[in-house]
Amino acid sequence: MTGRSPPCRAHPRPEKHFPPRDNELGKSARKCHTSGMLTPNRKEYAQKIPREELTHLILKLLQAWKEPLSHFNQHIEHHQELPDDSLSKAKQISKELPDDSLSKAKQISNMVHELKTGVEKVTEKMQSMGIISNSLNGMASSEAAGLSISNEANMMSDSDFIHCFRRDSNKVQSYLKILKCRIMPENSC
Amino acid sequence: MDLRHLLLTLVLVCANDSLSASDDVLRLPQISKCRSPELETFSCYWTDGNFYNLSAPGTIQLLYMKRNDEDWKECPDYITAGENSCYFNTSYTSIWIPYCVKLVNKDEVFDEKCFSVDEIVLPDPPVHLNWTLLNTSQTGIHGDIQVRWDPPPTADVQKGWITLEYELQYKEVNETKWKELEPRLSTMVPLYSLKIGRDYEIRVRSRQRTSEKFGEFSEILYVSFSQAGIEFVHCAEEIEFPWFLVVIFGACGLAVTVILILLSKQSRLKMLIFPPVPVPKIKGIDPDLLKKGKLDEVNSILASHDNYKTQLYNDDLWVEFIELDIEDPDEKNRVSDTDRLLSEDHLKSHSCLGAKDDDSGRASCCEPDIPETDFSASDTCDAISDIDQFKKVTEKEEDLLCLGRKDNDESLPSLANTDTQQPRMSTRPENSQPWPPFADSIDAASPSAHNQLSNQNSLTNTDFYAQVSDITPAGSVVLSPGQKSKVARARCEGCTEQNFTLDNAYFCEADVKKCIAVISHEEDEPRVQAQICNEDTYFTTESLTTTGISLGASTAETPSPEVPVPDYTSIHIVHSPQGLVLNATALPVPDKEFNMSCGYVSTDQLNKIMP
Repeated sequence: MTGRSPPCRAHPRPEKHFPPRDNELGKSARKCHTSGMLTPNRKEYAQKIPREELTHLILKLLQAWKEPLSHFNQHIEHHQELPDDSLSKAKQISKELPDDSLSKAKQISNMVHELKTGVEKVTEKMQSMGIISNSLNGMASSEAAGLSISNEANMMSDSDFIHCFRRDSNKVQSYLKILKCRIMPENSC
Repeated sequence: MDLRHLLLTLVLVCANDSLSASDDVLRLPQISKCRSPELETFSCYWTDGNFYNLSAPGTIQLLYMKRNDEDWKECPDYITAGENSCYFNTSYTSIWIPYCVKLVNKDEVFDEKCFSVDEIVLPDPPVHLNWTLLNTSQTGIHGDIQVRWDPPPTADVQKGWITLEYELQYKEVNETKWKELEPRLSTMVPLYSLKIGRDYEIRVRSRQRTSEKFGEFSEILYVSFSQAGIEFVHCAEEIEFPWFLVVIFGACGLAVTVILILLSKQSRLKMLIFPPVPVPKIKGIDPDLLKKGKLDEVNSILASHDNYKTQLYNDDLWVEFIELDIEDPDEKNRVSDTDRLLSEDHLKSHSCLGAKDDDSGRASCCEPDIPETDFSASDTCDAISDIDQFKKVTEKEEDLLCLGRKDNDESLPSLANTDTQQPRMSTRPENSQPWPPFADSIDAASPSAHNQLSNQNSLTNTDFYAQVSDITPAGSVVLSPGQKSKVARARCEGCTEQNFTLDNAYFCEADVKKCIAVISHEEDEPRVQAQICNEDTYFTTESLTTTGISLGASTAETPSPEVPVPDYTSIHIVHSPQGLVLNATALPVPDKEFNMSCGYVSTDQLNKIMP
């Protein structure tokens, strides 16, 4: 049992609880371009990590998604312009996306950009107030780190892209909440 | 045989059912769900199936593997979450990392499931529901309450690790369907307009903000106003929409409306029910027109009828002739026609002044049965400036005039003009002042050529009708016998000599006519000046008296040489309490002292004249 890879679809899975997708763990599917980042995956880790590092991570994540989102927008635009008798792969890809995906994708890009700008401002403020230190050289390093990762995002399919983005946006939300709790002195975080 | 077949199939079906109930069919254990209540731990649950009864009894195991692991690991805790469950505490839980769990019995895999913990979050139900009364309505029937609760204790909402949304549902106690409110982030919700006499049930459930599935419902909160000690005016029955009253009032309104319609449209209804027998109608004539006194249309309509036309006009030339233009070079023709006209149609055609500017000579307002004997003398309507003729004619003038008739009202469509309700003076033929028929139009300054012709050539004659008796070679039209001299004389008089009283912008018609006559030969702009002079042909008594005095002499003089022999005159305006305004010199002056004063005769004067 130990040496064997898990059987492939041995039994029917109740899909009503879980979204229909490839549940194979071993496949490289859904390996997001940000999977290599070491991020706290528990609440206590997020609480224990230094604030600077948490901030850095947030910025890095946001930066890592900037480029892939713009590429994704172009990708959707391109596929929406294709006629119906285009390649079957393109058809298959565009089938996964709803009709208003282009506007939504643009919305998402804008929101991410605004969020990143806001976090940068907060970071500056924190650094100026001495809440966090400048040890990690601020936002420049996070930007660089994020950019280096983002190049790998081009290989993902649309569904993986969305899944990865959802996961990372969930992360960013949780980290920001924890960070906020930790900055405000009155809360017991 | 059929019955037996049926019985057999029934037996077989029952056997199948019993067989299926007897666990011959294997049902495998299945993972029913995996759930994380707070994004910090999670647990998986499975069902047994009928496995144990059939095969060798074994133990079912749940194995899990994270993505980065190499191997499957066994469930760390089978107990905490209950039977057939596996509980993963915080140390075993990693968020945002894919997991796979599988249900095995030794080497046999029953079920497998892969997920990520942040996707299986189903929060616990909220706790500590309570409500407070906000306010009650003035009637005491409805009230607003505020419901508040606490988030589930397991979810760490305070630190923000998880964000929850809440959905509240409520209903009356004896209802079956719950009313839902929109999910919201706050832990308090107002409920408006609840009936105080009823009891309610409230429940709340929560879900993670980014997911779609709700957790379990909380305990039901019972809202009872009576228990809270709220006074309630107990209505025996609820105030519902008073359908009964609506029906009653609707029926009454409808009945009233129907009655009103019937009353208002009574005539039409009668016509609908009893259609009237068609009566002969003159085509094209609308009795309403007559009533309204639209002389234009009536005249045209009447004229368009051949019957009427032949009755009135023996000669179409008369009609044509009237519509002459001053620039018309066919004077000779006209002269000859004039004779013809004067001889023949004098009596019939223009016996009355319709006082219209259309100059067609139609719209004879008199009855056609004018005795011809009266007009014997009027045959002399030639180009003769004969005073004797005039005298004769003037005696007969009244015959021509509508007012000489007994009752002109009905025979005068022109009289139907009810712009001014004038008291008509019915004059005796003997010594009456022939009142000209009423003029409906005060506007003597119609720019029509004919009108100006008439104005030009009869100084004080009527504006609207004039029998063109002759046309002088100079181009002026003599409108009635004896106008020549008058015209000639009028030219001697200048417009400016007259003392026009301009105070009220009223002009004496005589003055105006003289003015026009003077400038008539100025062919450059006769019309324009005529218009200017004739700007307002309203006459007031004052103006007339003032101007009349100045003209009195002249008018007194003029009658003898120049008295036009009008066949008819027209009334320009009638001031009902004051009298009529006539065209000047239209009236023969039996007495010198009878000062015409430009055609205005007061009632006193009239009474003097008339017997």
